[in-house]
Amino acid sequence: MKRFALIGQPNTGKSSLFNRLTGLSQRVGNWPGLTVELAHAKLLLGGQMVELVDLPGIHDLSGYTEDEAVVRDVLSATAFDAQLIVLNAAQLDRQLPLAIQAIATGIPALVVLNMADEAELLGIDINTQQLAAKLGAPLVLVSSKRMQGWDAFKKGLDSLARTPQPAVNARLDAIADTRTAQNHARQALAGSWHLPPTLPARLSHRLDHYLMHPLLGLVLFVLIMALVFNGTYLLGGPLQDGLGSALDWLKNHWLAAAVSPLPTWLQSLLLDGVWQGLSTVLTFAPILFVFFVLMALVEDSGYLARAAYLTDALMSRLGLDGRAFVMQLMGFGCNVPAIMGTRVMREKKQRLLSMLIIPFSLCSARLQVVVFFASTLFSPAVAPWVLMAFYVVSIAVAILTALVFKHKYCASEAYLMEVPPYRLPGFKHVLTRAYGEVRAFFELASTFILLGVVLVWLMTHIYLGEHTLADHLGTLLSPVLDPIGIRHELAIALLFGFVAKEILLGSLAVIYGVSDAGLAGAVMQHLDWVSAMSFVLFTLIYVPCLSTVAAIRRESHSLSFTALSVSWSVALAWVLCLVFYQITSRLV
Amino acid sequence: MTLDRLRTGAHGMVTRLNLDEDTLHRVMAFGLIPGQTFHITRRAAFGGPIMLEVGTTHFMLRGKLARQIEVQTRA
Repeated sequence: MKRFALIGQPNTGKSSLFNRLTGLSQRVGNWPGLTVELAHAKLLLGGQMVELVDLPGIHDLSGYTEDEAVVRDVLSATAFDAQLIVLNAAQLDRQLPLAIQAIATGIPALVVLNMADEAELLGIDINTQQLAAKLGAPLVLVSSKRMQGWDAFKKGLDSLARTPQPAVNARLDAIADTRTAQNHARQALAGSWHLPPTLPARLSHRLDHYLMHPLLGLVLFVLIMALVFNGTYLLGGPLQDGLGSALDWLKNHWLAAAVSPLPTWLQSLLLDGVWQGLSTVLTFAPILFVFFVLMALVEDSGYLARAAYLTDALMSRLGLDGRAFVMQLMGFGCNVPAIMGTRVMREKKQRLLSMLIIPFSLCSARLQVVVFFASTLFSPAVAPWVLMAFYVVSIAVAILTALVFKHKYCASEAYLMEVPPYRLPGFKHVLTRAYGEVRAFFELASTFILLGVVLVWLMTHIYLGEHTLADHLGTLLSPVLDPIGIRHELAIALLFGFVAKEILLGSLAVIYGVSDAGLAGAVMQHLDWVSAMSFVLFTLIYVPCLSTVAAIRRESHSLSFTALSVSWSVALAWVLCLVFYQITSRLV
Repeated sequence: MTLDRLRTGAHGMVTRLNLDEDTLHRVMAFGLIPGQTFHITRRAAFGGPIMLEVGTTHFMLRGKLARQIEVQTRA
C-alpha cells in the first residue's frame, strides 16, 4: 500500500480537505514510535490503495515548535510515496516557503493551492503553470469548500499514486532554513502571483469592527458563548436524559430478566457494575456530539481566534491563552468535552495547564448536588446566594490552580495566532469531526471508566466481616475525614461521586435507607449545615468524575499527569474544607 | 522604536528582531522579517494583544513580544 502525507499551515482548510477526501473512513491513532495521534484513512487513488496521513498544521519545517518537530520526525522515520502540500492561495507570500522546504525533502509532491475562491475575491492573480515550473512540482488550484478544481486535483492524486518509484524518507538535511526558503519563495512568486495594489475591504473587517470591539465585542462574546453553552445543554441535556432513561428501561425490562438465572452477586455485578458503567459512558455521546458540532462551528468560522483576542489580557496573566477561557467556560456544562476541546491549543504545556483547571468548573452534574443541599438546608431567600458562592469558589479555585502551576507549565512557544477571515463552516466537515471525537472518546475512555465502575461495585459489595470494603475504607479514612466534618458514611457517597456526580444523591439515599423523595428529610436529620456544606465543598473540588479523569488521561497521554491532577484537586479540597469546617463550626 | 509603542492604524516597517532563535523562527514564519511592512489594525483593551496585517495575513501577538521587535513608522 502506498502512503501519502498531507502537510500545510493551520487555517488552510487542510483538515477539511482531508475530510472531503476520506469521509467517515478516517481513524485517529498513535503513530508508531511517537506519542502523537494522527488522523489517517485509506482511499483508492488511480487503482491503488493509498493511506493518507493528516499531519499537524505547521508554519515552518525548520522551526522549533512541537508540531514542527512531529512533522519532521514522521516524515523522516516513515517512507512516504508522496506528499500533498496544502497552501492558502491568498497567502502565498507567507506560505510558499513551507512548500519549498517540503519539496526539498525529496518526497514527490503535489502542491494544492486551496481557497481559490478567497483569492479570487481579493483580486489575486495566479499563474499556476509558471509557478509549478518554478517550484518543480505539479500544482493545482482548488477550493475544497466549493469543490472547485476538484477534477484536476483528483487527476493529480491519481498520477501520484501511479508512479512506480519506491517510497522515500524525507531528507531533513536538504530543508532550507527559513530565510533562504523565504528568498526562494519571493523569486518564485515574482511574476506568477500578483496582489492587487490595494486589497478590497472585506466583510470580515466590518464584522470585526463589532465583534472585536473592546466593549461591544465582550458583550457579543458573552452572548455567543451563552448561545453555544445553552445550545449544548438544551439539545444535549434532554438527549442525555432520554438515552439514560432508555438504558434504564432496557436494564429493568430486559437485562434484569435475562440475567435472573445467574447468582445474585453476579446479577448485581452485571447490572449495577458493568451496565452502570456502560450507560455512564454512553450517555455522554449526545452531549459530546452536540458540543463538538458547536465547537467546530466556533473554530471553523474563525470566531475562536476572536474570542482568544478578547480574553487574552486576562488569560495571559494566568499563564494561559484566550482559547483556554472558552474551554473553561464550556467546563461549566460538562468537563469532559472541555478537556477534549483543549486540543485547539497546540502547545502541550498550555494544554496541560488548561486541563488542570477545567475540572474545577462547576459542571451541571455537580450543580444538582449543590442545588439539592442548598435548597434542603437553607431558606429560599438564602439558597441562591449559597449557589452563587459555590460558583465563586469554583472560579477562585481554578484561578488559584493556574497561578500555582503557571510556572511549571509555562508556554515556551511565542504566542502568535492567525486571525483568519470569517468562513462559513462546511456542514459535512463539522459532522465528520464531531462523529470522530465521540468515537475517539469511546475507544479510549470506555475501558478506563468500566474498570473504575466495577472497582467501586466491588468496594461496595464485597463484605469483610459485617461490613463492606467501602465501609472499612470509610473507617480507615476517618482520621482524615473527621477534621473536615465528613462522616464516614458520606465517604461512601464520595466514592460513588467519583464515578459520576449524577449517582451521588441516589447513593446517599441508599446509604440512609430512604427513597429519593425522603432524602431531604434524612439529610436534615443526620447532618448539620456546616458539615453538609463541607461535604458539598469537597464534592465540588475533589474530582469531577471518572469520565473527566479518563479524558485527562487520554488527552495528556500521561498517567503521572493524571495522577497529579487528581491528587492536587483532592488535596486542595481537603485543605479548603478543613479551613471552612474548623472556622465555621467554631463560629456557629 | 519598538512595535508595542505604535498606535492603532499605524503603518510601519520591521527593522530588527531582538529574539532568541526559537522565537525568531515563529515570528519569521508569520512574515515579520526586517524590511517587511505592516499595519496595526487594532489593539485589545487592558494591555491585550496587538492585531497586525502583514500582506494578506492578519494575526495577533502580545505586547511582550512586540517590545522585542524594532520598527520604523511609515506614512
